[in-house]
Amino acid sequence: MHYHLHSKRNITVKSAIAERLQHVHVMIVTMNPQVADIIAQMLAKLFFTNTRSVFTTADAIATMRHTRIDLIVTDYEIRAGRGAPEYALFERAMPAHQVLTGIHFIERLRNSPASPNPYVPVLLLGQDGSDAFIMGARDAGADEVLVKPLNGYDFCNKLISIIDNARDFVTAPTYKGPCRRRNRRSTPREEERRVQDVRLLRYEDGFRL
Amino acid sequence: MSQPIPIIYNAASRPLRQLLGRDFRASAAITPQQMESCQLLIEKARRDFFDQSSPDVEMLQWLADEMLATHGPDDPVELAQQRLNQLHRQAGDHGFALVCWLCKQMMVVLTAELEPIKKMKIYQRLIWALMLAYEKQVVDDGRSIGLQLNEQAALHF
Repeated sequence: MHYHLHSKRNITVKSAIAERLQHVHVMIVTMNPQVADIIAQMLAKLFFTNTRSVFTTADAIATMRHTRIDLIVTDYEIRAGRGAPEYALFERAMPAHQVLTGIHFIERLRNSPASPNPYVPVLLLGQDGSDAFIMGARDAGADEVLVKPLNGYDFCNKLISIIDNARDFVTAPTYKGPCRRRNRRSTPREEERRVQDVRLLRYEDGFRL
Repeated sequence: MSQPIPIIYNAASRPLRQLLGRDFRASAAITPQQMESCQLLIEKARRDFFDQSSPDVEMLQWLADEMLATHGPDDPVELAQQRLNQLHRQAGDHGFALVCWLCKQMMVVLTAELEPIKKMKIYQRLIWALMLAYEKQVVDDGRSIGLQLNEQAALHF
């Protein structure tokens, strides 16, 4: 009986979570249908049932113009595609088959005056875990980066981070996107504070200056 | 004294927080079981991908032959990259999914930020894995190759 009550409560909690998450409109941007399929399936497992996949940036922008999109999962490579909105976002015409990077897409999404929603949170999937790639993604305005090969646990943790640790949106002359500072420690006020810290640490560790 | 840089912090621009409510915690909503389900989905997708690619065995030999014929261990990275790009296009034109995938993985290795010697070493090991898999006739479903390559390069998904 106790077990029955417990599971009934769990079902209620689950349906309450599902109820909220089904209102989140997620857009998957990739040129690979298999990637789109697997991401959509994973999101469905997490109760994000309101997903749509687009295969070009032109379609992505067109979709954002007529539908509210609350979260974007974008692949590292995307085709430009055909369509006027595409040109408006990128400020120059480009061939439909042109392959763009996800970093470029995010950068334009954040900064272009024609962007339908510069504030939308973006999870970028990458193939390269190099410092240059991660820093490029961060400076373009990606909220989180997930390097392939995909891992279900990492995918979930990135989503959790985007929702639970949403950072303030920063608009500065050289950057637009989520605040790049992840820790919330205040900046040192006293002069030479760090030198004092080092001294303290060394003293505590048994070292003498 | 220099002018301060104008920076606007906009805490209100957190659309997901507004939509889901301030009390919503994704860390509490997403359970370990769901995470495991996601991982199982990915593993199944990989298995399906290799299963679907099984008829490409002859193409694997073609790819390995082509690469071995044109590359030596001392060749520059740029040459390997050029050749792979060409093979990728050819395989794509013929609709050889697995070969396309292999070329892509090798290109990922070659474009990674590693020392050229290290890159070529990994690249050679990829070719070696391909040849070994072929010679030992373990390429009956393409999966064995995938498992070996998985350790060396980033996956398709």
